[in-house]
Amino acid sequence: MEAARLGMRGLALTDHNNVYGAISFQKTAQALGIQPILGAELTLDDETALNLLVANETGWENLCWLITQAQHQAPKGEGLLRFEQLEGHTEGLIALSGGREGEITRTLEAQGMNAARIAATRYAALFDEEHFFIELHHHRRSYDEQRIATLVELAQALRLDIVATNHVHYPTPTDKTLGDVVTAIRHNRALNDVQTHLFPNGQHYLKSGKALAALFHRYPRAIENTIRIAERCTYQLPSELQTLPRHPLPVGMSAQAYLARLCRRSKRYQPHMEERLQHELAIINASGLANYFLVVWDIVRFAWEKDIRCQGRGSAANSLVAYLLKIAPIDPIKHRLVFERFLSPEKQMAPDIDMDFDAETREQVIQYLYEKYGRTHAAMACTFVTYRHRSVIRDVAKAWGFAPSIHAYLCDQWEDRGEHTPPHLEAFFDVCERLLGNVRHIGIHNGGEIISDVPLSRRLPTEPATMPDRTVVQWDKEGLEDAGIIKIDVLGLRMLAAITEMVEHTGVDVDLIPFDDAQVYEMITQAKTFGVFQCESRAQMNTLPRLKPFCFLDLVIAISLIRPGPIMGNMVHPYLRRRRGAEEVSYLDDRLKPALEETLGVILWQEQVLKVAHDIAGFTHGQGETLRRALGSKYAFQLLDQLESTFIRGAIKNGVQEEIAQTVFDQLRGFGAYSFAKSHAASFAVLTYQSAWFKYHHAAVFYAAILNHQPMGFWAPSTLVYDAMRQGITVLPPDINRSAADCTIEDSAIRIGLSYIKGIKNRRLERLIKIRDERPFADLQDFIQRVNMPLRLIERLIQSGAMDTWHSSRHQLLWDAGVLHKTRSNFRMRLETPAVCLPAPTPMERLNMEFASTGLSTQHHPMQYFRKWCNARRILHSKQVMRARDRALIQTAGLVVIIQAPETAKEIRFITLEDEYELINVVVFPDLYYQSRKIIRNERFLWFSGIVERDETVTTIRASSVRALPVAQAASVTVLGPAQRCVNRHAP
Amino acid sequence: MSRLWQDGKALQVRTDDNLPTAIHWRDVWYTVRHIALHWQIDVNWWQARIYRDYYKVLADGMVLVIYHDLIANTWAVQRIYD
Repeated sequence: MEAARLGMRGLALTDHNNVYGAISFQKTAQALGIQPILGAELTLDDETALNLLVANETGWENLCWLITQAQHQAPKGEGLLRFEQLEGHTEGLIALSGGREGEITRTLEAQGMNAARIAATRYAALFDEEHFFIELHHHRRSYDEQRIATLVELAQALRLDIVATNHVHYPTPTDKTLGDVVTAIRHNRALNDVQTHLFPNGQHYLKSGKALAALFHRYPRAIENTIRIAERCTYQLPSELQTLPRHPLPVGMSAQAYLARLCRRSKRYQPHMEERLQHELAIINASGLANYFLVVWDIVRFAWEKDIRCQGRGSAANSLVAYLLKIAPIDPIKHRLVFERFLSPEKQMAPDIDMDFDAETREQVIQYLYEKYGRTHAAMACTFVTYRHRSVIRDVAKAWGFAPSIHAYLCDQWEDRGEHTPPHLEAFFDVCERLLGNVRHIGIHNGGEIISDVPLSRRLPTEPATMPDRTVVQWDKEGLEDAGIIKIDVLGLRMLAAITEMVEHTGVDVDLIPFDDAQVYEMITQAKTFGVFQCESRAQMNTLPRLKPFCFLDLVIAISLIRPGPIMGNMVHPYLRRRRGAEEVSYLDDRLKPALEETLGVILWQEQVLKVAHDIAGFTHGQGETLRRALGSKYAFQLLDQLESTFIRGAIKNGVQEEIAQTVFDQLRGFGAYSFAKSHAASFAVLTYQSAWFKYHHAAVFYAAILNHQPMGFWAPSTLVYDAMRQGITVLPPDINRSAADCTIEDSAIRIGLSYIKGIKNRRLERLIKIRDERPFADLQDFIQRVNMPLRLIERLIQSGAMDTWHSSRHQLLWDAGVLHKTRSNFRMRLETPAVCLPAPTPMERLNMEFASTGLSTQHHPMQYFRKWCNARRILHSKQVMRARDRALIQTAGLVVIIQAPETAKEIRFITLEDEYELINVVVFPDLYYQSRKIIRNERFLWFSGIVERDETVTTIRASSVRALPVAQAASVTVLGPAQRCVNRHAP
Repeated sequence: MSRLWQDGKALQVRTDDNLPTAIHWRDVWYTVRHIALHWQIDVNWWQARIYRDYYKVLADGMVLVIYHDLIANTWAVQRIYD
């Protein structure tokens, strides 16, 4: 924007050893009418800089290769290129000598003119005189004038050309503060400690041509050459950078024919599918994507062969071909899924195929790709992790030199920022504000795999990921999409791992179970869905009794309904009212009926946006897709306004009244982002049903498997354990002689696994179990003698109850452990310690210990210890709350299990309390929240007064006051961990 | 040898287009004959910002380093060379 404001015609982006920003830079520059010049500043192994600009396609390939080399031979986050590696990779590149940081200037300053001439000659020989420029910087630093004069003299002597650049690090002079803070953050030090790394003044901003010309008025050639270079650097990234590897084919058979054969030979194939199959194959053929399907099929085939549970998600499930190839789990004909949502003749881009794999074994699939296609041909997409409130406060506070202990205070101050904010914090918060939303660091995508038939480093740079054996490319999902690079998502899904475990334990072939078990639907209707995939959130649990799902389509709807799109678009309540017959199903225009009939006249799915746009306004599929994307983008206001005009015009042309057309478009706009495609919801609904089926028919196995694959889903393990106990399942504490690493089934009870003991790593646990397998531990002394374990971990084992098996009190065991551990580590010394006899901990103390050491307890719920005190004050428990009359003013209390502040809820907090019977829903409006924020955030047991609000079977307390439950009344409950917070969850 | 004022010593300066043309030192106006060096610093903004234009000047036989404090809009001498 600043470049456009300054009237620049061209601009080069030369990030250090990367092209992370190339795509968005090119797009933005083009949109602003500025010529984008791609390039990078490479760091050579003597830590000097060299600027390379891309003149043509070969130059881009060479730049990618050079950056890849530099990244792979330097510590993470840096790049170091050996000078000799430039040899043979200079074609198509224009090199600038790197200005003050370049080898020539550094040599000139350190060793004098002759040495600098030798260095310059080396570069000129490598790139040739036409493609190498002596780069001049003028930042109003001391001796800049003299340095420039000497460099010009050197250039003249060697018949080299010169160019002026500004080594820009921030757009405007006022952004120097940001530049300095980012430098301090990069060095992980305070500003005071990185002064030598900071620029001595604020001259590294984007200067206008006029300002730069004034600085270089003695050297007009240096300015003129910027234009000449721009004229030579015309390369722009194409929209189809990738070429996929060719899947091996039977002799004489095309990819298309092979794909057709695989589909028709699939066990899932049935004759009635033929017409649809032919239709899809024709479109795949026309799009040239048969090979793509074969590549994905090969991955799925590998997974199934290795018993790695997997299934497609997203729009791929619209495809019959994907279903027949076992890529997608559901029959799109049966579930009325439209193929064109996935792929249509109009669709310009190859669609991503997203696959979920068993999270435990997914790594095998990733490594299979590396092995099959080669490490240089496969890599993962990166993610740009951006600053959010807490991270920006943490980093900027560190740069400012503030102690970590005041970060929470700063967060509070920021939220309450106003006239009373101390002046010295104003600048601090200003920097925080400006950094918010900017990229903090590069991460690795959950599973986005890129594969290529040519080495990836010829298409875009790669770098090693922090995770061993992983390589990432330098573009994220959006960048790859813009460059036409297909990403195959190999995602890890813990629910698939849990279902694998349930299947292994029960021997049930879950894939053969029909979706028609009335008892399972009844359980879901009763919202007994803790742990059930996608149906367990508080909002889902509140909706299910009203929705009363009784078939698979209802599950698809249930999953789709509680999403920000339908919530923001006010679709939820109309749908529920229409479903129970309290409101007539009506359509603003009869033409909406085909699109919305299935969902009683409301918009739930992305596919419906396309169909509505088509049926009302005559949008083509491509236009509909553009509309869908624009609705989901935060930045597409302008495009959306254009589409609105097109929509209204199209609708009027179709004979729709303008007012109605406007209302329909407003509904689409309200529907906006964060909605599911029906196909995606249908894929997920398969897992919803399967997990619910196991919960109903094999509850103990279900809970054990869910507990073994945490973190997963909505609820913390402690809530899941209490829920299991409420369902009548016995949950046993960890036991040093009985527990495995994972939770197991022991005579129809669940035994908590030792992996729940905080801080014990897998390898240590494996060793412990191996030693125990030789013979059980006889007592604490035997354990400490045979297992080499730090005292703190032994103490946690004792606190968790894992050593209760020896019938000593936990206090006594803790004392003995201290003595015995010392004796073990000083085994030649005998320690004389007085014999002590300690009392057993109270139940509440035991509870505290268990929460502290494992995060859960298999004892009574802690609220039980408050109950007598609460009863005396008419503080109702959850069952009494359910029975209380609507609009009654009551008091209730419980353990805080989750606090939600969904973006869709205008700062309303949804707090879920738990007691020994059930959960209690509390709604806290902003006034009360901001009054009582400290209590709500910091206390674990809350005591609310409020009004009962009942909507059919759902009871909520609208809070009018809140207090902390006095923990002294329950023998001090002080060590429970913090409540789970979901500040940005989309659904309440 | 030179004399250094670490915190600068205030002085009057006549300017033309923001560049020093004359310096008032010990009751005498010295004409700036040549600006040998000119640089800018902008540091320490997170504590007490120092934002100055520095000039190394030859003024009627004296060589001085003077600066223009761009925040307070004042001039000071930092160093005089013998």
